[in-house]
Amino acid sequence: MRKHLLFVLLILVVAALPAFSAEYYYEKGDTAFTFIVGVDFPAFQGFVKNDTLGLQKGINGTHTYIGGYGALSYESFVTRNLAVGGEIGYAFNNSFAMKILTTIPITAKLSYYPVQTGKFDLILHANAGITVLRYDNNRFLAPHIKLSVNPVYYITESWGIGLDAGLWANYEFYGSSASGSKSTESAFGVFAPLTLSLIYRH
Amino acid sequence: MKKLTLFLTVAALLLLASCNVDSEHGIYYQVATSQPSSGYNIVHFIHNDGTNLYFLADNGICYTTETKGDTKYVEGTKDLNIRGAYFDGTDFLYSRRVDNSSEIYKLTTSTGKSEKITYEKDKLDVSFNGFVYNSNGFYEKDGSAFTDVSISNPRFSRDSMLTMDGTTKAKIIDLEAHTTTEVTGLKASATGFIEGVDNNKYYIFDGKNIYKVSASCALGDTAYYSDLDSAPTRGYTAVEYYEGSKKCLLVRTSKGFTKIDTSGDTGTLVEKNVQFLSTLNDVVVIDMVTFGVGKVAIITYANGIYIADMVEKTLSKDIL
Repeated sequence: MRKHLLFVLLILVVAALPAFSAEYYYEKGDTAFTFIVGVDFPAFQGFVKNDTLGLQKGINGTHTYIGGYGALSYESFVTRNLAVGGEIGYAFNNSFAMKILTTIPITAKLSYYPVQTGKFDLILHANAGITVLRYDNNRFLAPHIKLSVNPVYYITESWGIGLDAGLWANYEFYGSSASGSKSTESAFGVFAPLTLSLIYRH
Repeated sequence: MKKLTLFLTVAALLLLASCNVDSEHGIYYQVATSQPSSGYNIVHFIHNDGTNLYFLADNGICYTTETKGDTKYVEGTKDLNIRGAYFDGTDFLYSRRVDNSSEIYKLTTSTGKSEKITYEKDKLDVSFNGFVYNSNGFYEKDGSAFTDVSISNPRFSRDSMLTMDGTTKAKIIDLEAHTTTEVTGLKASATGFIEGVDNNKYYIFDGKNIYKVSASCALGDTAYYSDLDSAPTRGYTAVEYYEGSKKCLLVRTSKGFTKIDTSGDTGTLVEKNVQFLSTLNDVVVIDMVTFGVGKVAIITYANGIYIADMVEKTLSKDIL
């Protein structure tokens, strides 16, 4: 997990280097389709009103194994270095009880291209929306955010392949009027996807 | 058209969001409290000799100390389709299914050999406390038949059995004293039955009520404790133990564990949903037994055995 975060930080530092951000490649109105597939690391679970569970970290804390993550997105450039669009994803992780926790995020997506050379892009993504959490025949609709960095190398003029790393989080909230003991079970879940991205730009 | 799409989207999302309203626990809570399988599916607890815990798993009789990885099968009991077992401290008595029937065996541990025992009745089972029974009656430890009672929905304590006679009538059968005591006054079917730390003092669970009775008296109108959360699917599991001079009852409910002080004439609540045991709230608990001073062994179906130090408020990881 620490290596994962260091990688994200390194990419952000590289993105800030002015030598990489000289020319604009994209025009307003250009579009990009992205296919994402990879693994999903459990990072945190935070139980806001439960002192016993509190903040749980990693596999042994969250009782969740490494899983998978996939997504499809479509974006259109609104300026020469900013694109907006949408993304639908699917993540799954087994719990210690070997039951599958799934989340299906449907989000709006904002992508910033600080580096764009035509052959290489460095993209920073920010997603916000909702997700359907599912576990053991229970469902919950939760707010969802995702932040990631995505260096991409273009093999042809249109097709590129990249590495997308970041964090996504959602919040399962129960008010004080929730049934049973659930009012003390409000929790946020944070996962760290590390994925390959295949981009088609047009 | 756009308004209709927006409306349908919002309606679909609200429908999805409402799906978890009636569930017992939150999703992340269930995940965080999920436990890995121990590799042993425990059918019932058998015996605690102070060093080893003996239990029947679905593929043999096992014993374990408190040390992780120390679990062993009792020689000659693996993969025999054993359905019930009793340990008298030296030898085992067990029942196994063979061709849609049941056979009873005695295993002599010094030789590792099992000997089939023939009874007049068939389709018999063995309980952890040594009853050999079917729906028409049971055999005592010396093999003599005890037939003036029908066995329905039996629940076993250390040396007794509670059997239902109709919905709200029951009998406590004392295996040692060979006595049968009719229990009247139940408001519903018994959903739990244990023997307390004092011999011949029993706790009977009925709906959300707990009654404390002896082998020679019936239930009164007043429950010993009457504010339990609902019973788990299998019925209540409970254990009475000492914390110093204080007696306590730990009860597994559908929501977690409830601790009741049983030192007085009526039970008083100490803690509902005992917090330090909450990581076991979503596992199936088969039984709970005392395990040293102030300690309780919590025996789960598929997630192993845990030792709860009720004084220090600590819970071990699975010891299997």
